Amino acid sequence: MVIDVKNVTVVYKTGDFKQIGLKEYLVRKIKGTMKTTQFVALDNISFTLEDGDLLGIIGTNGAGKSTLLKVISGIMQPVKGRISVNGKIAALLELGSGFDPDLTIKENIYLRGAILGYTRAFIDEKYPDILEYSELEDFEDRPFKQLSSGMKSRLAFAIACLVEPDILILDEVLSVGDGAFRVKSEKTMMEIMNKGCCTLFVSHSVPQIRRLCNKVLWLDKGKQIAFGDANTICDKYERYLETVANMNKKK
Amino acid sequence: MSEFNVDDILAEFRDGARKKVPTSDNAPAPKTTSKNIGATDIIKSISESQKKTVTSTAANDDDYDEYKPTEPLFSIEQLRKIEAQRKESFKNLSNNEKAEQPAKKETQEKPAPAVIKEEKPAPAFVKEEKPAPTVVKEKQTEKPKEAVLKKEKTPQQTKPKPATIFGDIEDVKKKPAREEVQVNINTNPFASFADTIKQNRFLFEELVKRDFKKKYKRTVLGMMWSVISPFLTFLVQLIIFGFLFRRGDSNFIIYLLTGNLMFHFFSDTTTTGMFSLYSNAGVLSKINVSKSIFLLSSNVAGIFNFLLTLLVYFVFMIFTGVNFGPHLILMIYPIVCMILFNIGISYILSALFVFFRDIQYLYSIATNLLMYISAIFYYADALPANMQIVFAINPVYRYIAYMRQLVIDSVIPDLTSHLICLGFAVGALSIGYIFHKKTEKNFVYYY
Repeated sequence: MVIDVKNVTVVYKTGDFKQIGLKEYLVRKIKGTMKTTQFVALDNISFTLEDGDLLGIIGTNGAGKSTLLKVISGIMQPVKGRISVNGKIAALLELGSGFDPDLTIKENIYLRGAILGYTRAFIDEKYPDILEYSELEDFEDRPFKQLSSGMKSRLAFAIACLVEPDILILDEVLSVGDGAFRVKSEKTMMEIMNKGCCTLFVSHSVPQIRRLCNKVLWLDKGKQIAFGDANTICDKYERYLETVANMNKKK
Repeated sequence: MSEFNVDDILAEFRDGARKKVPTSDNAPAPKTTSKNIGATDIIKSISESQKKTVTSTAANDDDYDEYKPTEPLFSIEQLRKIEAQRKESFKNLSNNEKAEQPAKKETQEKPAPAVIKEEKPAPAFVKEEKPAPTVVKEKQTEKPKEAVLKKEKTPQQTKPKPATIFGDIEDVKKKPAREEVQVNINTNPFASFADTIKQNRFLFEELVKRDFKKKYKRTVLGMMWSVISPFLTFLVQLIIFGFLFRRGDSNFIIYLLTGNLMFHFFSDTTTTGMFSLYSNAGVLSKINVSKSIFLLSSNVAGIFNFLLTLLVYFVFMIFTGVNFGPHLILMIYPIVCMILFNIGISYILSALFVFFRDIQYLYSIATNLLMYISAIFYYADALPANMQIVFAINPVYRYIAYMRQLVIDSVIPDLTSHLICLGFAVGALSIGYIFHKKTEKNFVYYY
């Protein structure tokens, strides 16, 4: 079992306590007027993944998909439940994070590789492969901010994939980039999956999920609607979307 | 006619053995015959169950009281008994306002023990969210005084408290302890310890390189400025206090310089350490990295600047005829202690800064004040004996005094000084680290 999630609940605290300073915080504490609400982002999610599974996470906006990925990567702690993850995680929750716009590409690759948790020797070894995959050999010494967004996404994807993680987490990152990039990235994902890596990825494109994934998790407003085989759930999801669209038309 | 009930489906996951996921069972089963394939029902039932869930999620996040009886537990006789018991226990209380406790549906607000803890919503909010069914599972309410003392309340406490409906009955299950949250993220399970060290070192180096490149990218003067700054202060103080006020003796120059350098090391390093977490919020909120590394790498820049100033300090030492000897090796000691001390203070400040942005202003005022009571540009005996405590508890002064004793008087300080310096360093480091560990779970919500 590579990933085991059981009854996980994640709650966000919202309220105006983020904007106020220290004095206001103390005053409100003393007066007892501190207002916070709790927003349940994920409610009782449970699933298990084995090696080689490719999980597609679908759902409308605000369903808690990104939150779930954050919890699995360990950035957020749930308030209830159990999570057990075994394996090296490469998370691409946001393409630009970990990169510094002022540094050159080479330096950024090393920095990003370091943040992802690899050793220097490993990055040295994989460095030409990364450049080749992202087709950025000529741009090695350019500052990162001069790249186009397509190049940035290619680079980020290359670093995340080519370093052979055990668990790959992608949050809607396959939807950026031109057609060629999408084809390439899908091919890489299939290779990774066949290598036995476990992948979680969020997408709004149901055909893509049908093509790539073997399991699907359907979330809606934090609740788990379904988890299981990709084709069945995709069918139902599509029908659901249709009916929602029809209802809206009728209105 | 909702054929599709989210709760039922989820119940399959929740209870007991996890079946291998049978696909058709847990997917929503819309009726294929009806026109609305249950989509409205899906949405409706989802929103309904979500409402229920929101209410069953306790407002206070350490009181997840899942106990929800589905049938009446007690007979009328038992209920009467319970009432009688409760009335008795009320008599033991000083406050009589508890008479109307059962009617109240609100939970008490529990003020946080630490400065930063999850805030409990005000009663008003909770009240709105809870509909009638939750009267049954209403939590034990307490005096406000007791609420101040404890965070978690359990019905089986022995002090006289207002008993709830489930109060002192033995066969009522113990209220389950706060449900275990087990997060076991084991990246790289086969990595050896050496590998972990290697990868942490790699990250550390890359972060330091990044900080240096960004800071000192522009001009040579950019790097020099952090070295020049304490020297300018030193010069001004020398002129004002050394010459104008004629307060110094022959060793005043080195006396003054020691104080300035050590103090500048402290204030500079802790101030940059304060910003270290928040300024890396982009990375920390998206990637799971150890936060301590960011903090340590930001301290390195301060250490580097200090070492540069030390070089100039050595030059001054030569020129003012300081006695060079093997005892100067011990200069390492206050420097190392101060490094640890700075790291500890950085831990605390960086955590506070994530939560309260205006800590930076408070802290700059605090460092200014600290500078005045650290005996940098005056002699410690300027204060009368009963005020010397001010210097005794000032850790920065301790380090400065140690340095001065070593360099100017050429005397190795006694054991007490060593222990006090070490004590401040270790104390700051442990308090900082503990504070950081306790609050780091909440950083994500504040970035």
